[in-house]
Amino acid sequence: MIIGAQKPLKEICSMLEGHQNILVAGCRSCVAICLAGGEKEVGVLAESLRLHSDLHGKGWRIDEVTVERQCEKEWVRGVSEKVGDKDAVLSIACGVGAQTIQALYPQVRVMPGLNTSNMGAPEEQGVFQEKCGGCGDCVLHLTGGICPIVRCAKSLLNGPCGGSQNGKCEISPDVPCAWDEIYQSLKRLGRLDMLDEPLPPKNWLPSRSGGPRKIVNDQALFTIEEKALRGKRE
Amino acid sequence: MKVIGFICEHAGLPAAVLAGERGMQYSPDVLLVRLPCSGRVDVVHLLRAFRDGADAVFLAACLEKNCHHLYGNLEARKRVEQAKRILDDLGLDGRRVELFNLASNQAFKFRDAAEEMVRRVEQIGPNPLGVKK
Amino acid sequence: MSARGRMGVVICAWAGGSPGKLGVHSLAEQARTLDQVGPVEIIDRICSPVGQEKLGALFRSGEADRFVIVACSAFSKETLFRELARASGINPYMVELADVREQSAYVHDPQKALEKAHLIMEMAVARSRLAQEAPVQVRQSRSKRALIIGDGACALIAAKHLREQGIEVALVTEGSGFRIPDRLAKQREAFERDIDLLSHDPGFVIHAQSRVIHLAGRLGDFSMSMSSGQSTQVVTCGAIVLACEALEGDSQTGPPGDVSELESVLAGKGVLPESIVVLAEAGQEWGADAGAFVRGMRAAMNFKMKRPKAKAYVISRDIVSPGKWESEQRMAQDLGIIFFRSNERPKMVDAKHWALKDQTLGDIVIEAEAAYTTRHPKYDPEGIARVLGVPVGPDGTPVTLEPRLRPEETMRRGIFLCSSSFEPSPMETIFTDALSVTSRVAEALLGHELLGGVVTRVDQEKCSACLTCVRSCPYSAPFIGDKGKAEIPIEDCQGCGICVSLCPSKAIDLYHYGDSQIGASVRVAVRGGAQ
Repeated sequence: MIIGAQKPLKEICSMLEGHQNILVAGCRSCVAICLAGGEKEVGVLAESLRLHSDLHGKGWRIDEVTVERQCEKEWVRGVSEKVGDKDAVLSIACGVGAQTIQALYPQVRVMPGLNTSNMGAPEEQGVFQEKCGGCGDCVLHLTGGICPIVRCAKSLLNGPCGGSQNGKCEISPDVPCAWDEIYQSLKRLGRLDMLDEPLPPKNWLPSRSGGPRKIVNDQALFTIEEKALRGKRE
Repeated sequence: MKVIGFICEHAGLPAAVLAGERGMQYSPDVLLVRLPCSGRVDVVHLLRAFRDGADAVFLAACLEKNCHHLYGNLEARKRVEQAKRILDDLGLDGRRVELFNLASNQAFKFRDAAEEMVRRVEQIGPNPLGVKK
Repeated sequence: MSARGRMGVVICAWAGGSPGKLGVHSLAEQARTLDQVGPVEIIDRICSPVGQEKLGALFRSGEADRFVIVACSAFSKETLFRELARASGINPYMVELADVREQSAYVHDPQKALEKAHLIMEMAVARSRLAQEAPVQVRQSRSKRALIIGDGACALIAAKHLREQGIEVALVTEGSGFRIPDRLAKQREAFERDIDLLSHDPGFVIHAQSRVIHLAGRLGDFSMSMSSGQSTQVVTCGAIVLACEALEGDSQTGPPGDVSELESVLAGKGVLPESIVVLAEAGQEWGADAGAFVRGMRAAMNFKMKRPKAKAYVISRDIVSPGKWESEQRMAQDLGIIFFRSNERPKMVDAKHWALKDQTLGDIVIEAEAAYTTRHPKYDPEGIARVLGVPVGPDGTPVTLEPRLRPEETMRRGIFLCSSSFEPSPMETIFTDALSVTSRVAEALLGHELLGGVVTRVDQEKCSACLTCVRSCPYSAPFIGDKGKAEIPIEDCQGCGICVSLCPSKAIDLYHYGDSQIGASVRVAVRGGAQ
């Protein structure tokens, strides 16, 4: 899931300077699960902002809302009453959610309360580790299920590099060397032969380097005729 | 002055009651809110108390390693640490909130905790959002 | 007028500790001015039979559906008032107890005490306005069978007494049947009679050579899967008893030997040494608990009774023979056993000599043909504890609910523990544990259980299925149900509220200690009433 962490309170307070009527908006999806932007965090942040406002006589009016998924238009449209008269929305969903709100409410300034970081997984309650680089051209079957793009600090396709020491990456003794992990995984799978063929230079077009990506699922897309028959539902 | 004391059912409450039975005097500005476990406390409750105007807030929880609910007091410790950080960020002073660990028969510790928070308020000063008499 | 949402306020005339000590009339007057408050009464000594009758009448009057009782500490009276409420048709958790005696009258000077009592009452009223009827159920166990995991003396005694209560017993062991250790050789005949009786009892079944692999369900309705080699079986039961016996005799090599070797010889399986020294110790550091000390002492006593003229020494850091064992220790001295108290572990000089520093006599070297220690590897039920889902303490044994008052209960409802079975314990301890567990299991399976009250409520619409509650509950109560959302059965919830505080989507609240109730009472406390 998408992992993010809240910005420091001081940074958020200074972002909100000059605004009066503020909506703190959270999400029940990824950011709730990584304990950064769920309804609970919305409550804590809102209360902190109210305290700040009261202490400094800012006269802020802080409202709260949490939607099922902040990246989906229907859910975000559903809170139009809450957004209504506000002059700022502080989104603590991921960057996608924040942008969705801005797109649907172009007159209200949307600000990010979260620093969205990566695609990862909980290792244990409270610890979130990056796992997937979103490169658009997955080679996990060749690397024993370990992503070389983000788990290797250099994104090497044919590692390890000379900095790999005792299974750790040279950037930090706490960071495992991904290629050591790849080797161990392939060994457990009995597929060390995967390392015989080097991976060719990567086509980075399906990755960020190709510009903002759009994926269309023909099966799901409503055809022009269907859209005409359904009528406008927006 | 207003000091709120969150007392857990298995340590804080019996200690407070025992302090009462023993006639131990402490400031009447201390008001107690009972919780089933110190781990029930939410950061929002702590922050809200200050927004309402409390000058200090404390928790009286089971002794470490002795929480009736196994580790509620360790959770409470995390909540208090988070509240302290936020209070410091806001310039309210994190010393206004505190966690005290005690056993159910340590009435004196309860009384000392209450008095300690009163002393801190006298030292730090009242909450600017406090109720004006 | 409907009772719904209306509140009754009852003030005990003795709320201040004695009649007239606290201005109860001013409290009553103020109560009458508060929103949603209907009947207000001052009752003399609510806890007395007459007072209880009056309170009961008010509960049954239909004038209110929730009550605030302004009186003394919750401890003595809460259960009483709640039971009365339940019997009078009022949800027991719609009753608030405001303590103005221990929290005010007793600890502040009179004027301040009354002011504060007003606040305490208003805090309780604020809470009560937001009170919701907590689910309260009387439940009977679906299954009348207990499952015992273990095969030692404790398991045997528990099985026997559970059968006497009419409870079916299934026993699972990795061995082939009951094992009685040599140190309990004196009771062997009695044990063997019991084993024989059970073997002819259709209500008792042994699953031998079996391991527990998966547990589902809850108190009253468990399903335990066990495997015996190739096949798997599922046994249903209402309660589980963990009574795994400590493994003996396979720890120590070389002097000192494990004391079970001596116990074995004393039971007739070998030749008695000419003289013995027993190190009564337990755990990593030099020191003993009662179980270890008594065990060592008894082994020495049995030895002395067989060889009255031989030398027998017992060395320990302290003499740990509390209670009735004290007279036994006296007897041991009279038998001629010499007890040494040493602050440090004795050092072996050679196979037949031990050097120690006695607290009174100073440096001594003693000679004994054979040396034994009571230290043994603690039985590690880690694997079983994981299957059962019970948290284990740093020493490897399951954590009990309350070590002094409820030592037979693990953190998971319905799973009981005989802690004495994890160490080679004295017979008395084993017996007490087994009987104690029997009574708890009988209570659970045969009696009625009052469930609910301070329990959680999950709003599944809000639940993100993030697993935070599943991971954080000390009692393993929450689980993700068929709908893919968290469910917390009231049978298992112990009302601590940890999950409520942690839920990232605010999907969980706690009856009787709801977020809004806490907020309201703090607000009144800080700002005064009528806010």
